[in-house]
Amino acid sequence: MSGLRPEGLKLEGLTKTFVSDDGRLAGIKNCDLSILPGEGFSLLGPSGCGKTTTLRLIGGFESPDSGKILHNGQDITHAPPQKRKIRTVFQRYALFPHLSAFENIAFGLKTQKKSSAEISKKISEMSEILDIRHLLKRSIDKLSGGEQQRIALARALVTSPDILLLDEPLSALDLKLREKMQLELLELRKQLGTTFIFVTHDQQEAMVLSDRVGVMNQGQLLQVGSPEEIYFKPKSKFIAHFIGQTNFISADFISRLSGEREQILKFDYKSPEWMIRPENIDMRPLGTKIRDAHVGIEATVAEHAFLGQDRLTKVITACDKAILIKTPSHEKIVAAPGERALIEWEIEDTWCVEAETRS
Amino acid sequence: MVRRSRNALLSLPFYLWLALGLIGPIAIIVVTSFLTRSPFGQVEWTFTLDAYRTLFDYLYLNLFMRSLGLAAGNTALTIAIAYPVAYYLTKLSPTKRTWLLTLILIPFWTSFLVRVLGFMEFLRLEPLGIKLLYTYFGVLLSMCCNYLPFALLPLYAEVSKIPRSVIEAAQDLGATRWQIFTRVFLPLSKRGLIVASMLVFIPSLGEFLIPDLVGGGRVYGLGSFLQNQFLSARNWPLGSATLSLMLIITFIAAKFFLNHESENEAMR
Amino acid sequence: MIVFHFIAFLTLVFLWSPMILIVNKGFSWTAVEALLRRDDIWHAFSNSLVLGLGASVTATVMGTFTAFSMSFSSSKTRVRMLRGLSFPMLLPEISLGLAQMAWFMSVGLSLGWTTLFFGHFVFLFSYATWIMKLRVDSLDWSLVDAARDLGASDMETFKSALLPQLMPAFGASVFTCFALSLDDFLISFFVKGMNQTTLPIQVYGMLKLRIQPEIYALSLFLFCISLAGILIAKVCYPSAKSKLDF
Repeated sequence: MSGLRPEGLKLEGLTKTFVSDDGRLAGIKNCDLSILPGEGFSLLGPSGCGKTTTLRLIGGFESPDSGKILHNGQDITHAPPQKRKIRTVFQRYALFPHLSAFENIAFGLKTQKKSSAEISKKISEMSEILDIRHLLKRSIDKLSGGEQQRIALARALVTSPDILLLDEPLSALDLKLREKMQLELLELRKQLGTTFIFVTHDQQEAMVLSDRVGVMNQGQLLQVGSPEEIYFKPKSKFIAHFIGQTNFISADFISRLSGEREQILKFDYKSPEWMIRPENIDMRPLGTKIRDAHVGIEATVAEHAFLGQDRLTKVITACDKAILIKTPSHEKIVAAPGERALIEWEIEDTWCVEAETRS
Repeated sequence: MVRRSRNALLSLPFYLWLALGLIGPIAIIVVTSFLTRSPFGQVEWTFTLDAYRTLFDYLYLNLFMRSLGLAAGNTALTIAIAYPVAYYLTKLSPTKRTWLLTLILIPFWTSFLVRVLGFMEFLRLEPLGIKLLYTYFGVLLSMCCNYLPFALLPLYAEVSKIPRSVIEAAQDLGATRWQIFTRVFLPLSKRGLIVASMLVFIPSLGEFLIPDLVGGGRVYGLGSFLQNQFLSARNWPLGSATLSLMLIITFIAAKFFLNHESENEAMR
Repeated sequence: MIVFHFIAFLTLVFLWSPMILIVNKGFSWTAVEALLRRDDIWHAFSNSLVLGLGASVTATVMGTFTAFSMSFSSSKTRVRMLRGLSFPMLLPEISLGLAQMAWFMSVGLSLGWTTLFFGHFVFLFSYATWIMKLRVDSLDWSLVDAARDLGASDMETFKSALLPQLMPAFGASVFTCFALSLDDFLISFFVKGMNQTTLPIQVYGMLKLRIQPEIYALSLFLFCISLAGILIAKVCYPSAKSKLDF
């Protein structure tokens, strides 16, 4: 068992379906996934997509209808949570209210029958890493949300698991704290070498925290890849839409603009659509010549929205199509609302996706 | 907002009730416990500690202890049954839960005496082949059945507040089922257990009907003793002394319980 | 897990078997016939009804006053009043009954209807106040402001803004107190007069003598009344989850 090169976590054909509280069919169907040791992986998707179910199956709190879960080559599909080298940090932390912070952290070590000396030593080390030494003696109800989260992390990590599961770990924190914790979690993972698997519906969070992201919807794993891949080369319209903002343009429109039909024919989707991210579009004064390898059209500015770092502009083309453009807000405004301008982008930045039919 | 005089008027019923319905009667009992019994069963206004002395005579003390034992036994048995049932309820789906609760509570909406008659009939049938009617254990069983909801409801209220994720966290951290029970479940239901104990123990101290009817006079408890002293033997001082003692025990237990409650109120 | 199924099942068996036995025995024609002939039982029953209704309504009205008084008082007073109210609910009933009896006799009141009524009123008062307090604490006072704003007098304001809000709880309180009063034995036993009787006392007497068939019929009758009561309560308060919340 030990001495083998760790293979990480493998899900094979994992299926679990059930009827959720509001009567809908929920769960996951035939999920295949490989997660490498030490990786930071996020399961991303809207609520009800099955990501939490997947996490609970990995953690051992549910049993699948069919399929297998392998951890370092061992079949743990039906093993209870106690027997897995996997720890979970629950969404609302699930700290034991009747125990102090120290006792909470010690819980997992006590069940492993470690000696008090060893427990103290391990907790001391973990307290250094997570900067919680001053919190150890406190009772749970006297801790803030961020502090509770650290205690929950410590409680899970002090038992040195191979894999740590985190269920929407930052959703209960406010923005500033969330940003801080995102970086800390990144560093923590690098420092400990533990595999971190996150479940989140916040795509920005998924991208910051993970080496790879798995996008899910309606029980299916749609695409697995690095954050860049998911963002710039999404496989479907749903994914493109879910991650960040994007514009969709029909194939005809593109071909009329570019005359390069070959590029369109390269992808054989049933109903292809082209997407272009708002930040890849430039706005130029009317009458400017379109640059090489670019595509451009005239449009009327509808409105500008100031977002702080960026400016979001909505323009309407001659065929009544609305297009969003994102530019750094420090750049000068090219055209005011009501005026016309040229919008152009590199052909290379367009990407073709499968427009899904609603099932 | 409301004038003092108006509020004084509004609170008048309460204070009248307090004085005439609660304080007066209790004061009389306490006073009577220090009086002497006249030969014909009346009460003489002579101060004496006779009543208390008789009470602490080993014979009566024995009786007192037995009643306490009955109440304690009842409490233990009732909680031993209500606790698992409360846990079971939390594991059911909401509809099944309501059904089970309703089914358990319906018999308690009937008249108490009807239920006692029911127990008597039930015990008469000797369900386990042993003679239970008119025995100590029969009384205990009947009392347990009767006090079940007093234990079940507070226990269920407390246990249903334990988040499932806390139990799962304990599983995740490697605790066995027994460890989960002793280290997580039990400590977190402590408050419910205390409330349930109080709600069962105190009324059982003065339980009269069940030992009288189901026990057929063979099971002699405080209730029967008090009834005897006040009505038949007409030894009011002795009865009052017993009652006072019972009141003191109740008062101490209630103080402990209410303090615990108001601690929680303050924390809210 | 199967152990728990078993315990729950056993509990239901032990709780319902007594009921089923009684229903079984009470369902005979002879028992019902015997019951109908017993005038003394019906006399006791009507006593209980009148007493119950009277004491419940009085207790609820007084309880409402008290609930309002509590909501206008400082929190210290409120806590003290609450403690005072809760105390008799924790006492064993027999101590209340006996203490009341001693008290009445020492102030020279002969045991009879007055003492019986007052005895019931005393123990019902706590419950009524608790129930009304639950409602009064969650009253919407903006309706009072609205009524005043529209020019209503004090009496009109009370009738249109507060009374409608109080009525459901009032009904619930009377209902609960009525059930409690109807079922009371210990207090009635000690504070009643020589020739008085209420239904539970009547039943007790019958149980101590020998088991007559009309007892079963009577028990069945009372059981049906209770069930009817639960159904009525469910109809009037369909959203209440248990008899503890309104």
